[in-house]
Amino acid sequence: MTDTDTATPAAAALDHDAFSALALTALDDVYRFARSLTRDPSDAEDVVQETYLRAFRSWKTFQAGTDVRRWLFTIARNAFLRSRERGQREVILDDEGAAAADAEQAQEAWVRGGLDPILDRTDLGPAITAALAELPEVYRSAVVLVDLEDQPYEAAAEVLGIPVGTVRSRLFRGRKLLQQRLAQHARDAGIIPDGDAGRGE
Amino acid sequence: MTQSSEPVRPLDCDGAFQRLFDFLDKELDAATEQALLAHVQHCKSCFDRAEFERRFKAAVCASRKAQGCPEELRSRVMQALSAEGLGR
Ligand SMILES: [Zn+2]
Repeated sequence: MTDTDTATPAAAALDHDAFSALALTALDDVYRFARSLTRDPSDAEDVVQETYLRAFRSWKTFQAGTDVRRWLFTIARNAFLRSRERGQREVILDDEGAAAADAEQAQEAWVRGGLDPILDRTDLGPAITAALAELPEVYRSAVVLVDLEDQPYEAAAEVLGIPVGTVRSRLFRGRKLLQQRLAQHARDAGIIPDGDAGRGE
Repeated sequence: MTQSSEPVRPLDCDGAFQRLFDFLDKELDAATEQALLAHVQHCKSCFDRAEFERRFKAAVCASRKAQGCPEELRSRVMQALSAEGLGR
């Protein structure tokens, strides 16, 4: 049984085809965004499934010609917020990086010097994924939307429910944190020799 | 809309850095973009920084391939959608 109020079977089939062609091809994107919202992979999977069920039920509200990913990201964000209300409240640490801001400044040369020789390597993906997973959610979701999903600031702001200026500052801090974590991961994995680039201690 | 008739003042290092990420994220208007490029072409330290951030962003973007949806979840979603009536 479907509760969509499509007039004819033919129209329903068209709707379903469009949903499969548009929404389902964005599954990788929605998954990445869901992973950026939750620390736990199985929570992310629940968010993805919930997102697609809701998207299917309200497919009629999608405006043809607009970016389907943006529409799905917004649904995913709402599904995530609702699931968090049900479970224990995860504290949003918006200022987690602020205390480290001074240290960031001092570390910048060390981080840049360490990362510079390895940024073009094609085997860097897993280290970036691991580093990204360690960022606080507010930074991770901004970086994923803009850098991985290529969303404009204005779309990221709408999806995350924050002003464009906040998208900018979260991106800035998120990228700096990501660079630090990546440098650490690369050292741990032996990609950058330890003690390289003259870390002052 | 960009106001190309209005000349944009040349940028110093601070101004260039403030706009660097907007530039890399393609959020700048054309005139400011020109001003930033003009500065970066003549300033070695801003050029190096811009190049580093550009390559970093490219590396982060490339990591998306390593973060696709697992097959198991894909079938779970398809099953849930079938139960909901997709394809019928
Ligand atoms: Zn400069």
